[in-house]
Amino acid sequence: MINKSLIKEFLIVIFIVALSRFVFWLSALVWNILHNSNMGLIELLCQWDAGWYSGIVTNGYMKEPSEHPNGDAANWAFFPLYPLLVRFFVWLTGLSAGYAGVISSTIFLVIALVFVFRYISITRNSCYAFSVIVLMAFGPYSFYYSSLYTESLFVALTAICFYFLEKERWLLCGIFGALLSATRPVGVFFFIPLLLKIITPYVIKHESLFGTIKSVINNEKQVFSLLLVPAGLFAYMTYLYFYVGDPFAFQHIQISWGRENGNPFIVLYRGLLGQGAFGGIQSQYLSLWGLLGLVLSGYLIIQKRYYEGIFALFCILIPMTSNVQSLPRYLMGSVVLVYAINDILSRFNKFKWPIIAALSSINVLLLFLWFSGHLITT
Amino acid sequence: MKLPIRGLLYIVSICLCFWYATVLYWAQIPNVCPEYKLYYLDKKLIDWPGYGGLSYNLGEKIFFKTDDNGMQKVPFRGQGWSGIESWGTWTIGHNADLFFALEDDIDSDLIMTTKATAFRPGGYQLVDVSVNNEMVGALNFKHSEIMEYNIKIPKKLSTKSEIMNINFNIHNPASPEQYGLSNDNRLLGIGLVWLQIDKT
Repeated sequence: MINKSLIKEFLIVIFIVALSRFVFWLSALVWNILHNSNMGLIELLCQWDAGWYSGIVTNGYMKEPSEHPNGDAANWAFFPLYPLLVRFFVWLTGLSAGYAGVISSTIFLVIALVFVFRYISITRNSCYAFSVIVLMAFGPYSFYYSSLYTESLFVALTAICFYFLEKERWLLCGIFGALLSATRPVGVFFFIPLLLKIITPYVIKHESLFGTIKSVINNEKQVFSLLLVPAGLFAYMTYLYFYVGDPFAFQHIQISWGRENGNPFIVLYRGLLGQGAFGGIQSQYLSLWGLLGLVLSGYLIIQKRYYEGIFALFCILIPMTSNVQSLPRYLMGSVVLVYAINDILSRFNKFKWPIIAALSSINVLLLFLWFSGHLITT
Repeated sequence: MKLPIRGLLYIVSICLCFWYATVLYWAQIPNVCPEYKLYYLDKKLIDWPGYGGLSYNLGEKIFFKTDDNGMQKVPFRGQGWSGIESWGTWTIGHNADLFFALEDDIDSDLIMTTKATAFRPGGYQLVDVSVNNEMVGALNFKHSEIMEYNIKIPKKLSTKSEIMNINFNIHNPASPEQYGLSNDNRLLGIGLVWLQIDKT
């Protein structure tokens, strides 16, 4: 019976993903006609950082910074799990990095949506689940989930982590949490919802702080899963130490992208005033996504979805410490913030589908901008 | 069967803690070249010189002007420099730094020679020169005249393969705007055309 329902969910997801990617293909066709060009969908989908990932897949990590006009950029900023998996896919199929990346990202999206469906079905209801997968497949910036970017893997692992968190499968939380922290630096913050989920029952039982710590330590699975989450990050740091000499090279290299850490709220405020790195309306647009991310995180917390809300907050605040670039991607790529959008839309059932249709139309426009390499889609 | 797994998980947990602590310790003492440290960690260099890019052979003349291809990169510059122009480079503000990794064995005092000008309408720009935080002398640069200036660097301040930091402390930086000469508001001090370090 369970298998039957899983197969049904899987088929729904496959159908929705296939339909949404057909829309992408049509959009590429229209874009080519409008621009009198003959670029393939794969080539059009792999913009901006896709070049960096392609380089890692093909040649591995750089020994010395040499990219960007100042020659100070290196690919250490990009975490290893996704390019490793794409490299494996290249080895398996013989495809180019671009093809392998787009196909594997789309496979990760399918896996993500299956777990999103399951998770939303147990934490909300199945009506919510269907709309959230449509939103993720067709919604704004959903093209990232089929580009040579980490987003779909990150979304898949986040969805899996939260699914097992809900099921209280501690070891699986630890294992997938470790993979999450090897995918993007913010993945390590899954440690916090996991910690909260573990200590909540003890706190409810009014145990003292010492009693809570003792109870957690007495449960070997909980201790191990908590300590396992940062393993992905530390594995990469260990690699960087032996390869470059600096475990934090992934952070220090950000200087070549003009990213230096500061107060995220000041960064957001300056961005809203149009004073960000890109200036004017582009900074304001990107900052609005940052603001939306904060509001949605707050909404999740108010709705007592503390684990999702806190993780969402880290997913949006950490990138905002440097600048407002890519905030739409970080919002859509955090998955839990998409849950929040879906929750809000589901409260207004009458308008839910028209709004999702409108958001899907916006994605086609954004897709055209992405094909053109526009800054607001980075 | 349950007990060994329980014990194993605790042992692995302890190993994880040990591993994380080790990596965090490594982060405190990164094993990187001086260029990496100065540029990425200390943020003291303007341009990324590349690994080994601060290497300097005594007698080598460093030009502070754009090259024939219009490239604007002088790898030795620390903070306190303006953009590179076709004739040379102005210092901005009170302090300007240069960093070198000397490649030669140092068996005598060194002499630093620079062809430079200054911005100090109607007078001279007084500049204290320090090497590795120790003052080695002062130079008086004449306004708007490009001349050669020399200063001695004691042997004890220069060691092979170690980074030598030369600091120019400009006493009275001023902008052309302050003098009503133009709307350039950069606080100019001295302008270097080239610089050379050699044995005495």
